[in-house]
Amino acid sequence: MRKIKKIVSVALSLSMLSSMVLGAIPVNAAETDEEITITLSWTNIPAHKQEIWQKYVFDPFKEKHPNVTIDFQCIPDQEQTTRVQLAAGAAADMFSMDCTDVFDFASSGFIVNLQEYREKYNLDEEMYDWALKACEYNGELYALPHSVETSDMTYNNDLLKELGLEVPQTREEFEKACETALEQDIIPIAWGYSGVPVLVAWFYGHYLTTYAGPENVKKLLNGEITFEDENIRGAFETMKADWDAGYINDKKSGAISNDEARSLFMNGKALFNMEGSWYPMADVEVGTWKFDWGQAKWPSMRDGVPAAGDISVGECVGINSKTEYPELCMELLLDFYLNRERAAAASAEGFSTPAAKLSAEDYPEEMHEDSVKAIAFEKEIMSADIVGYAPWGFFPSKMKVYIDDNLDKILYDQITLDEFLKEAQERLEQDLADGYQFAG
Amino acid sequence: MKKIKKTRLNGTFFILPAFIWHFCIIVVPACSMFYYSLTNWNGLSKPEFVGLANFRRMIHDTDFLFAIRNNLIWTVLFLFVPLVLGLGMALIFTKIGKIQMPLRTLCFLPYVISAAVSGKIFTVFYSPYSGVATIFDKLEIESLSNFAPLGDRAQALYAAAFVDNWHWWGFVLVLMMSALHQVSAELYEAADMEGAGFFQKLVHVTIPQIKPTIAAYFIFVIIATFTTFDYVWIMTQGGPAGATELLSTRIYKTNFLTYESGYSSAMSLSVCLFALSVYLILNYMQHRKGDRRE
Amino acid sequence: MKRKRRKVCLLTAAAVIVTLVHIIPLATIIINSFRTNQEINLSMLGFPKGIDFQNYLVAWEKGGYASAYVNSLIIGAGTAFVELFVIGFAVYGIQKTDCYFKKFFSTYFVAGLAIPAFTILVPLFSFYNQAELLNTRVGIIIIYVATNMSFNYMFLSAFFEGMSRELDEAARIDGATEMQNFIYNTIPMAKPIFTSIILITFVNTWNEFLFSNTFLQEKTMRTVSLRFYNFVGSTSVEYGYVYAAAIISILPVVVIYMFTQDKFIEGMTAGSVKG
Repeated sequence: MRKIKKIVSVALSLSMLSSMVLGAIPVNAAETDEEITITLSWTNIPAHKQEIWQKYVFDPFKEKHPNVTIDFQCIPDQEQTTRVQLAAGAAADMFSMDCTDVFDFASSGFIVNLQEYREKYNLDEEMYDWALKACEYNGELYALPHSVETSDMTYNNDLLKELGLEVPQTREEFEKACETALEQDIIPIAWGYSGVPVLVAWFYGHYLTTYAGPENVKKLLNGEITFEDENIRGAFETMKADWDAGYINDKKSGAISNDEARSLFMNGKALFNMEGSWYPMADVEVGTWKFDWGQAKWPSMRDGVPAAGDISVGECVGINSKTEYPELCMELLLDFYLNRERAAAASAEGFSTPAAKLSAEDYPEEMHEDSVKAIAFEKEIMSADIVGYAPWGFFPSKMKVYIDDNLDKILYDQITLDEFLKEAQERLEQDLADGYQFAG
Repeated sequence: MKKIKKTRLNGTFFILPAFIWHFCIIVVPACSMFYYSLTNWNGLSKPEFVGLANFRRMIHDTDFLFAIRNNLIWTVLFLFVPLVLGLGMALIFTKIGKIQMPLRTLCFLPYVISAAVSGKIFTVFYSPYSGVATIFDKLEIESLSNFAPLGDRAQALYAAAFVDNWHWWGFVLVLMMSALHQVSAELYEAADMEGAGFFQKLVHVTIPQIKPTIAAYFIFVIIATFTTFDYVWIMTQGGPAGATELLSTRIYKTNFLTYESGYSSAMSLSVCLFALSVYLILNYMQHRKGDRRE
Repeated sequence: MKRKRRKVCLLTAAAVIVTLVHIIPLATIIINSFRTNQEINLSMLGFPKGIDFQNYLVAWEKGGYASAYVNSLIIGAGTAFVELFVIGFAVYGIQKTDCYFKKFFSTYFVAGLAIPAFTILVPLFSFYNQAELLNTRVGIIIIYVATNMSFNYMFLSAFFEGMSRELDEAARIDGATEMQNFIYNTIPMAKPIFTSIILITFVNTWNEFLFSNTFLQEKTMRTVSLRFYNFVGSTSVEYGYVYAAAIISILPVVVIYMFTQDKFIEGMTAGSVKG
């Protein structure tokens, strides 16, 4: 009896010991039972958008990895704060970036090289190639494109019909529409940039695309032509002329915020608007507009240059080179982007359009008709033959900041166009010397 | 001798905590300005030494020079407008009895509202489509129906200063009330006995007695307005077309938009040293005057 | 007598008018906070269709104000009281004792005003990262006490300059230590300005944005001044929530202000100043 007891007790203790030992050995280096927190730092998005993140990105991931918590930090001034954090070595595991940041961050070694993931997950098939290219440094992928957007002309169809106009797509039609609107005391184009000067990029982006044309913009950014080129110069001249003619809020854009411009458009006081796909889908509560609206390519500003919208990567995501969990980070993102149904459903609820190539079937059946419309327009512009390059997605940083900061000096006659073009050219050359490569 | 030394040391101990605290948190980090102003640091990668190039650039930078002009205007505005309002209301309050209590609270309230909120609400007030301009339009005052100061280069700075003043003079009011409280009633009684009128009392009793507070206020405004930032940034970010560019917005933009942290440190350092010199000169002049009178 | 009464009437009227005009923007914020986002988008200024607290409920919840209040209160009160002690002692030392280097210290504190906030942002951030003080309330209190010192020094100092020296001299003759003098003589006399300092410091930290945004990343640590930005997007603003959030943000400070004003500054008008 005693001997059996002894054997049983030894066997029990051995089995307990072995199970403890086995339990402590991690099965997979990245998959332990410890609690992991991954920080994701993002720009300040409204609460309803944060909920979409929670529903479509974080919750599914939590189900898959119960031990991982995502600390989603939406902070104002995120771009500046990220830089301060990176400089101190204290940035989040993942953070949202602008394409213009890829160059700076990658060259300083702050973000992880994602080329292996690109090949592993076959991203070139799944995502738009121009979106991936915009996130490259030295030919290799360093950030994941998060969203794409198009910048176009949004119009109030009811008003257009009232004024007896068609949607303008040529310069003549455009001028006619603006003049008719002015005569009837309607604002031709609503646009406000008070407090957010970078919004001037919508303005000059459209004119560069539809006056100079994407080919010339490409040559400019490749260093083949300069700002003095008559087409580039002409784009800015036309912009100034239209401003002086009062087409844009009667020169009062500096006094009103974008919200106010939107309010004017929503109230039927303005005919057109310079915004893009983000406006009806992501920023406005779907179904708010009570009039017949549409979006179209920005009309051609010069004969021979076709009407076109601008495309761009909205934001991209960088993985901190100091993170301990690069695999998990990538998984979190790609699980969402590459799951077409999920990405489309999120997009229909007001999330930004992902850079993944979604087709109409991916979208949920019950979508508000405004969402359907907006998504259709976006597709139309992205798949057009001629597509423009939105400044915030493709322009180099020094040049872009100079233009953003100083464009309204032209509008207010504070500097001459010559000076402006000269300075812009100087900045562009500095960027090119730094190693900027056009990604279009 | 020993006892005096002990009291002197004792007195110094009162000061030390504040001094050491302030020195470690503010002055030591600020010294990095000296280092970075001599580099072309972009905030991220290793800084490269460039000597005095940043300073040379600064002297020719028209944006920077224009900002100096704007700062000067701002300083002058804030030296006088809030003081007149604050002191004026404080004096009125002393004469109207209990009703001043709710009024005081109401006047102070805007100080409590953050700049972001006030900036937003005033941007709406200033709007040509939904702001005060529409009221003028309805009242058919032609000249003012186009009132859109934030889009007008000549008016924008004053419009932004107005909002900061709206926020600030409530504090000046509280400050002046604290100071007036200190003036002993006997002095006024003596003046009354001599048959002094309101303005005479103001000039000969009140103002001399609250001089330290007024002097402190002036010095504070002169130095602090070198770094004024919030309201202009929230309402115009230095626009339109650079009309409201201040030294601080220029420094901020250079640091966080163009990522030229070296250059921005050079500007910061210059502004800081200049403000310091102005203060030292004023201080010296004040002491000279004091010495001479004695 | 009649003249005096008429004078008082006129002055009262003037004061009331100035005050009313002064609070129009504040009244607008309150009125707008009762309008829905839709209403405001259609017309930026106007009257609400009805009193609807919807904005407040949403702003409170989505803004996460419960924890933000706690954070801001702790940070605000902590900073205010520590600040009062630290700078109160310093001003006492400089103004009322015969200390070493009086001129130097006095100039030093005022000169601190010349240093702008964001020059110290990056180096402090690096240091805090290494010292593991990021995302802590203590850490941010340490910063705020320092950044408010120059401001408080100036006005506290001016007040102390105007204080009478008789009591101090009497106390010293009696053999009191400096600390005893400070506690029994100075504090009672300086009550108005001390209250003001507490209030002002509290308000300044309550609304402070730059440092709290950079140093307090974690959601649980974020303060009231930051929550408001939940409703401010890069291209659009949810005005209804913004205004409600603004009112939510200032309510505690208003309450504190009314409380402190009632208690201490009532004495100011009890007849001591006849002007």
